[in-house]
Amino acid sequence: MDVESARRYTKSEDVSSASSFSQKRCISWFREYTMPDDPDMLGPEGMEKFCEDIGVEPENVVMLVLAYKMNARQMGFFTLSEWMKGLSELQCDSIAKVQQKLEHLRNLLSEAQTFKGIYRYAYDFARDKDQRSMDMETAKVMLQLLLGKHWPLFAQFAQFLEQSKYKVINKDQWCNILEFSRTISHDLTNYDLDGAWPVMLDEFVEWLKIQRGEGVTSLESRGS
Amino acid sequence: MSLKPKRVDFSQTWDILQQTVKGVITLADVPRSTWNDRFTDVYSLCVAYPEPLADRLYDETKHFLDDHVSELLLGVSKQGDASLLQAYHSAWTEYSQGIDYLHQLYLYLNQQHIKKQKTTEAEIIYGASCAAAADYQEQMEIGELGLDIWKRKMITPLKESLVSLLLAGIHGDRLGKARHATTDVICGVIQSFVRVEEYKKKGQLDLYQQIFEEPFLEDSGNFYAREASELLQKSDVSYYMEQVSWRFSQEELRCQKFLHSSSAPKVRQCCQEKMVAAHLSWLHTEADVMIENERRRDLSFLYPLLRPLPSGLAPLIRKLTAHITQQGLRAIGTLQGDNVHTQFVESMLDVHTKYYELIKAVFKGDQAFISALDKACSAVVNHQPASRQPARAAELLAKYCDSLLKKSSRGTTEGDVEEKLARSITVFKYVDDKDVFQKFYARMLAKRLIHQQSQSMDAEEAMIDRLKQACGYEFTNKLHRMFTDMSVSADLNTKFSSNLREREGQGQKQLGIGFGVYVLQAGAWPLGLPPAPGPFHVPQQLEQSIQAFETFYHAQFSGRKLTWLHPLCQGELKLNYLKRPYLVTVQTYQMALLLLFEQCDTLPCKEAAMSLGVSQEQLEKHVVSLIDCKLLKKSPDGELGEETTLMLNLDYSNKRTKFRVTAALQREGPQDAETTHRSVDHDRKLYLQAAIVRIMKSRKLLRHNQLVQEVLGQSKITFAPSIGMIKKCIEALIDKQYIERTANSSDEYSYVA
Repeated sequence: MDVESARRYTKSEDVSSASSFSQKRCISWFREYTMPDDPDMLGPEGMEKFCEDIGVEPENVVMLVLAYKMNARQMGFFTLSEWMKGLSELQCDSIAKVQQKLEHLRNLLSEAQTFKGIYRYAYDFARDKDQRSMDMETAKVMLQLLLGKHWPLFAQFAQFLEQSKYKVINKDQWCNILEFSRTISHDLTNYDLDGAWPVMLDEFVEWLKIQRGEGVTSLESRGS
Repeated sequence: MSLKPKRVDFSQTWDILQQTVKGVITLADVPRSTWNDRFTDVYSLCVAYPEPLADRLYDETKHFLDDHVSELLLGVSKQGDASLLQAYHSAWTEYSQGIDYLHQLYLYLNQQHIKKQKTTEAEIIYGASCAAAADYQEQMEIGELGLDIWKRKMITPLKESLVSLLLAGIHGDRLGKARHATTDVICGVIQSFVRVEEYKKKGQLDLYQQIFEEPFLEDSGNFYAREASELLQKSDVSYYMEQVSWRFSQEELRCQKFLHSSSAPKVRQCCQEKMVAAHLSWLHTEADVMIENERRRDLSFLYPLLRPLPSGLAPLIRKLTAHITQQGLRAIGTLQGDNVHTQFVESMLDVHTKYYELIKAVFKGDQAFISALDKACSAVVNHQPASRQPARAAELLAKYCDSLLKKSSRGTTEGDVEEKLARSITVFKYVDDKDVFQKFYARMLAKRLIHQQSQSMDAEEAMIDRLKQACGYEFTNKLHRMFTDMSVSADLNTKFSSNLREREGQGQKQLGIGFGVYVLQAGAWPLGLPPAPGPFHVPQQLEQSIQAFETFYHAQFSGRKLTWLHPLCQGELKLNYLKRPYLVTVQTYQMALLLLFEQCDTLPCKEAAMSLGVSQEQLEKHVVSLIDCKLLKKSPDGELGEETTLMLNLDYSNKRTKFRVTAALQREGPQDAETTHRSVDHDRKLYLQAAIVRIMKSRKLLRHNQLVQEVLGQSKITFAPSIGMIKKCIEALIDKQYIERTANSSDEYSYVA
């Protein structure tokens, strides 16, 4: 086995970067970013260097997709097993190969079903693992990253969160924000206040209606 | 006379018979013997030998009647329009009577010959058995034949003129111009239309309805439409309704007088349509003003007019609801002063009684109006003056009950109190937040029981029973347990003192003081643990009693833990250092403080606080009321502080020798109310979450709206949760992973086992 892969390694080195995927090369590439005292964990510094190497800003949404592919548990870290899972799936073992895949990764964002998966994954990925819910600052950054460009009401929603008393967002609220951004029209006419939406979104709709000067039905007057 | 069939000469017999027939039909005098002979003749003809002559007899008779009626018609129509009705009526009276007799004369023919041929009832119902029967000219019994002939030969040619005369006659009656004589005639003529078809098995009223009722209803409709528009032009709504009601009752009488009973509802409907339904929107607009000004007389006219119409009363009910709500809010909107609770409940009851009586008197106690009253009262009682501020009804009502059940110097009799409490249940039923009421009520009841402030235990118990009736056992469970604790404690105290006497008998030391204890179950009583900053030093005079009781109690019930709630206790002290002895009732802390002065006459605050084991702040609270009632003096004057010295007032005097020092802690502050509301809110969230989990556990899968409905249904007995609150509880449970949203539907939940 060792002999076999070593031979392939030398061979591909000789031919070109377009050669087939090598696990060994992938592992040694990983090691370039890790510290000797913890060789199986790629930490924040390594991450920075990795981003630099592939020429992507750490805040770029494509990094989130990559993490999703690796099923990385914690933002800012890749474990060796995560790295290997993701990159072997993408068949990447070098800087150049990853760079070639970036476009493909970006395209994943426009597939509705995959995007939903990425969106839900992002919650647990970015959340402080000591807490059940995501703190508001992180949530706002992540929402900006994921929905900022495509959801016309995002700016208003961010403003709403700014003035609200919410300190955290729970998973249910998080998931329903995507649902809301996908199904509710810009004029809010298809929003059902008596529906199953989380109260946070009810309040957002009320707030937005008042902002637009059409706030007639207040939550309080409704069947309370 | 022989009944045996024999040869009969038809022409000869018929000639004789015909004479009698003529006599009978014109009601001439027919001697009995002749009648009998002709009766036999009919028989002989029917059974004649060799050939029965019944069919021939039938044909001849029919022919004769045809001629007779044609003759009568000539006579009647000769009279001209003026007395046509009269003439028709008298002809009919004679003929209908005559044909009746004739029918009897032909009894044998009718019964033996015709009956056989008659189609059976079953055939009428299920259709003739063969098609040929339709062509066959069926023979009828003579009475029926006569009526049929009358219909064809008399009514058919005359019907137009008859009916127009009838309508003119009834019109005259409506205008009050009818003469009595014509009434009978009109009535008789109309009756004849019914009578001639009465024998039929089906469609008896067809002729009546077709030739008379239809034009009559049309004519009436026109008349009342005209009448209504004339009235509208010259009168206001009150007069209009009065006239319409009068018209209705008149028309009803007219129906009874002239028409067949089946017409009455049709006529009523016709009148309603033209005089009420056609002007409905106008009446509704007027009704708003009537309700606004509570014009009872007008409304009691309006109600019966609108009631029969399908959508007649709905706007009235809506308006009344709005009106009562408005009046109610006005009544309770401006309450001020110390006894807001009394004002609130009594104004509310006044409003309720006033409108209940109005509805009973004006709207005949109509259930729809009663529910309007309920809706309005409920809106008023649960009105939130400002959003996010809880409605105060529950608290005020509890206070009201408290003020009635408490001992008071005011001279209200027990009967009065009972009645007021019974009436307060009316308001209670409208309160949405029954759980809030329960919390407040329990707290106040606890105070009354502990401080022995109840006017009467019977009244207390009766009230709890009323609440139980209104809300169920669950609701009053804790209140009942509080009650039981009181009586159990009384027994316990008796046992305790006999136990003490026994011990005395055994030579043990006496306690030297009277000592009574209430043992209250922690779960049932709304009593918080004392906010103890440090352990309170029980005065040594009490120590022994406490120990004795604890020993006694633990011997009875091992494993139970006793917590002493000193702030709720009180003691009676006898002051012997003054000119007269006084008996003073004080709270435990105050008693402990006063007992410190057994050994000295002056004491610095700091030292007092230390000996009692309470904070300076707490001490001050108790000292203030003792200084206020002048039992203690302080030096220097001014604010109390650690350095202030307290002195026994040796010059104290009071007209009374037995009195109570009001304790600082007994008054209910606004914070207390807020705490109660907060704890209720907390309880509600738990209650709702429990309800949601219960429902989801049994249903596994449920849509959002169904779940909300079920939760509302379960909680409505004790409170009305807002949708928002339910949603928050659902979200909390999603977060806690008791339930989850189903993957394929956005508004469905499933239970997570």
